[in-house]
Amino acid sequence: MSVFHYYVVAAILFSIGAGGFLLRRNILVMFMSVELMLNAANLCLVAASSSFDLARGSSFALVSIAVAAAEVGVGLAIIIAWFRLRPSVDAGDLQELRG
Amino acid sequence: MTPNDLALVGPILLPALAALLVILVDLLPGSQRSSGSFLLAVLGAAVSLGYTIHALMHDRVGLAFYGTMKIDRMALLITLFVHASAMLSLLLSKVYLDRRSDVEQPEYHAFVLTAACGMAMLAGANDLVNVFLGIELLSIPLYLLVAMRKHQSRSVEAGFKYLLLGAFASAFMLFGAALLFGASGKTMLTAIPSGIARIGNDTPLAAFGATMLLVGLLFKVAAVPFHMWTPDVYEGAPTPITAFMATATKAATFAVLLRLAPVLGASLGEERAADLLGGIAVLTMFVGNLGALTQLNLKRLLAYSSISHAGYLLVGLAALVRSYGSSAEAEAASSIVYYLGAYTAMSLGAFAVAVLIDGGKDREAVSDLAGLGKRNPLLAAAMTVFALALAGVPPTAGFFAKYYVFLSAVDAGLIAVAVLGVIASVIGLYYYLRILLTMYVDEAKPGHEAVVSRDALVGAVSLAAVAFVLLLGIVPKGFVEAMALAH
Repeated sequence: MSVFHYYVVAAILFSIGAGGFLLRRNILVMFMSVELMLNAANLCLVAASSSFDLARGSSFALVSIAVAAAEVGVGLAIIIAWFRLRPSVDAGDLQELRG
Repeated sequence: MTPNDLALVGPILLPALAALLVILVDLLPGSQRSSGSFLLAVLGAAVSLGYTIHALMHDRVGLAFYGTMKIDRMALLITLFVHASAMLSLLLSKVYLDRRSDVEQPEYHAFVLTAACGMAMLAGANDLVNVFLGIELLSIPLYLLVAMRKHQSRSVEAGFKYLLLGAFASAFMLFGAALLFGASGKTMLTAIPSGIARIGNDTPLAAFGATMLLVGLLFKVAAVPFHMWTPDVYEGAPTPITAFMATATKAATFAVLLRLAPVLGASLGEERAADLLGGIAVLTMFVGNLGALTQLNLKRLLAYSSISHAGYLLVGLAALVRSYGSSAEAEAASSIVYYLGAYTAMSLGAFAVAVLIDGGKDREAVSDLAGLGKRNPLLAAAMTVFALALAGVPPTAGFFAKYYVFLSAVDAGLIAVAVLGVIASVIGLYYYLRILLTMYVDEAKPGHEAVVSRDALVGAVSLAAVAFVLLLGIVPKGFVEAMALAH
């Protein structure tokens, strides 16, 4: 198993995430898809890191996990604010701003 | 970590400290919530700005934190634009928020400072980890700031759109950074090109990585085809935040793009990278200028204008990538930094006028400017300067900014891109002149007269911006030479 196998798995995970983001209309599912994409990147970082025998990539992955958690916190706060104004989780309802 | 490291990154740490202070003071019992946090935040931004100017004047430059931060003159200049933009936006916010009661002010002020910290970090970042951290540190507070008017569905919807698409773009950026690390074994930006050469460029890993990283960054500067969020978010956000986002985010992200130029060249091939960026630049200039032609909302119009300005800046970036390592490199880099300085001033000024005409009722149509020339000649004159500068009419800074960028493109051999850029800016003239016509010729509809509030704060912001736009335009050469030292 070379490091490229890991890259391929990461690329597949990333594509599933990107596809989910673009095709699904439920905002929570779209948000989860982004998390999947971030995890694909983390997998890639850790795999590369161990292939070079460097700690650099793994520590990058740790940083990115922390950042992703912060992003989810803020994201859910905004989703709740949105839900209070308009009880819907359909991305199609985001259409007041147009033009 | 040495004391010297801390002194070097002072412009980055100070806004973060100020943000913490704003939140802590807000917790004190009986504190005057809004006015206290406003004063502290402005003070924090002013101290950060002063420190940056001090560092710039005394040439406090160097590498910090084992080379992961590179505080050079370019970084300090961009940090200067960021902090100036943060401070002026805070002053505008005072006027904007005093007319509205639906915003938590201490949080608002703390988030502006946090975002400024992220932008300053981005300007000095010399490592993929710091680039990612900087991007997130500026984005996450901005998502919240855009959605800050939590009882107004326009604002929350804009924040939500920005969050969803921003997170999507960040994922691209992170994946690109991971692939670049895999292709080079390095995370330090200056070490990546040699790392790619050492490992061998027989795989498309580096090219994929650089492209995806570029996608994430182009999203932040609102380049076509990653610009769709821009008009909606700029329209829905509180106007002072729109001003801050349009100027400071662009400046900070272009700082990273400047540092990434050698990485793009090494991973995509210099010619291919320059062609790619040149193509995106042309598309961005045309989509921005054509999109603005039909806009009736002033903030939306300025959003499309901001897209077109990202295009002009990308012309400079394409020239930089093409001429990297040659004598024209410094010229291209300094033309971008000059452009960012000019754009920050003229765009902030235009948004300051937008804050003034809205009168607390979210009136932001271009037609609301009608009759401003008679009612408030001074403000109308200021808006005239900003509109002419954004259009690129001499002798304003906007003209010289475009001139230097196109000149560096011609010197780098990208003549077609420069010619198309000139054509796009001629199209742009139309809608900037429409603003002038509305102000001076159109009569205001009854009940829709432009609000003439003589607010000292907005007046000061506009005046500072006018002075800067004209000063940069009248003595452009000196500024460019000072900035050429930046590299």
